[in-house]
Amino acid sequence: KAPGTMKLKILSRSGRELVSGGLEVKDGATTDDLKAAFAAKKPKYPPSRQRFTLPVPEGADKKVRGVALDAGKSLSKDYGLQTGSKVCFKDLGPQVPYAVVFLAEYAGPLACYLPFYFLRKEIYGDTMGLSGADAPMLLVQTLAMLFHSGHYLKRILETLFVHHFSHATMPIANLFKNCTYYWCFAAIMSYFINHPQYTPVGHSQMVAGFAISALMQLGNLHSHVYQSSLRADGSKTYKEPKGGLFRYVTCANYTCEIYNWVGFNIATQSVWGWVFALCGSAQMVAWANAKHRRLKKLFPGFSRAFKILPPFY
Amino acid sequence: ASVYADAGWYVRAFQVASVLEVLHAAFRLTKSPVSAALMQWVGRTHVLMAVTHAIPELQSTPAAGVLFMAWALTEVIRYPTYALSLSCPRWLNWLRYTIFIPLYPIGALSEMKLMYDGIPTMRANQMYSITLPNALNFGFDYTTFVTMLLVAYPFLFYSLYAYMFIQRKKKLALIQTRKED
Repeated sequence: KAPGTMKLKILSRSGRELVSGGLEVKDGATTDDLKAAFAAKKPKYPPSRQRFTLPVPEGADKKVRGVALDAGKSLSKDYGLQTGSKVCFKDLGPQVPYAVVFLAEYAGPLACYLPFYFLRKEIYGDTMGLSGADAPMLLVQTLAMLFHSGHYLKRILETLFVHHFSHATMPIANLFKNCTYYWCFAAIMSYFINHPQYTPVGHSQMVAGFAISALMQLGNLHSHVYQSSLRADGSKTYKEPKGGLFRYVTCANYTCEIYNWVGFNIATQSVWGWVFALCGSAQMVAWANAKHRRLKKLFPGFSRAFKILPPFY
Repeated sequence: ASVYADAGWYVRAFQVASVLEVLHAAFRLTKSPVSAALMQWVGRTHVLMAVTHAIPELQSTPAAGVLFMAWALTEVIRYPTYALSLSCPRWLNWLRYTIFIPLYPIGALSEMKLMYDGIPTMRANQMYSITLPNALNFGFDYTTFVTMLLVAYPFLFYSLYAYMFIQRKKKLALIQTRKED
């Protein structure tokens, strides 16, 4: 082998050698260099699809995961690898950039919600034969359209200009799963809210609901901008969120998102709206638990008054 | 007389009682995934109770008879394998993990046929439907739901069927290696 290089054994999880004779990288190579070298040998696996881990100790439980080789880290200095060392390869499957998924899943709701509002006569009246489809829209229906659309426009703008993603990509199955979720809920919520036989709530309840929603959307935006500032230096590592609402809540951004939809549903009152809020909240609670655990591991002594949902949790 | 008239009460009683299989999975008394057990139970119970039992004209159709036969054949093999557990003879285990190959599609097609034939009655009686207007702004048209379910059924069936094949590969290989020991 060439001087100043090391030859690593690349194994599958079942122990099969994937690169015969080993993969040669420079002594000072990083995880990214390893991935580039592997991709050069096996063009089917671009770096975003590769995951390398240190081998799991002999006889360990099947569920134990090996230590992952993180981006930017030195193979020799951070993981003690040298010639003959083994690393495990895992194929993460076809990947799609995070931003692509976000833009697709957020643009869809605009396309799915708005027709029921702007083409109300054509959809409910002409196609479905319901009466009252050409009656003027109620104030709550117009506001709901503005709040719903505004929310997703905000998300699109955040994706383009605010967020700094930890990972560049995610498995492509998520694209279809997420789009189905957002697009279907947008359509079904819109169908009932813009229906000619929609029953509005009282005026004060509507105002209170939208006021909560507006305030929470601003809080959510503020949280996102703050989180973005933690990575203003261009790094992708995790920093401890301490500012703004994050002083009291681990996932203040999720808090604002959940209460935003609570406000929206107080104002618009539909079963599907509440189901959507509940599904989103359940997912966010799972994420908040994982985030809290991760921050506790990364920053010893980390604790917050609430994980995600003051004053409850 | 039809199969349904003769055996209907028993099939209904035991099918509803078999929710226990979902609970056993949920409380980890068995190793089955809860989602698979739940999907199976909900699918069968829906067709049996909500559709066939609720629409008498469906009960004397061939589809109803075929469905009962398919279910009966499957269960008459499956439950003894549970009862015998580790003493289950190799041929019975093989039967359990092979007979689903024809019976599952036959069962699924019969379920779809029953739902399809029931649609006119569902529509005429607006069965299980909630109409607008109401304070919760919620509407549910059961006929539309069943129509969409019929479209989704092949996909749902496929995922359960594929899971069964994976299980088959695992379980039949296991018996082979145990035999070789």
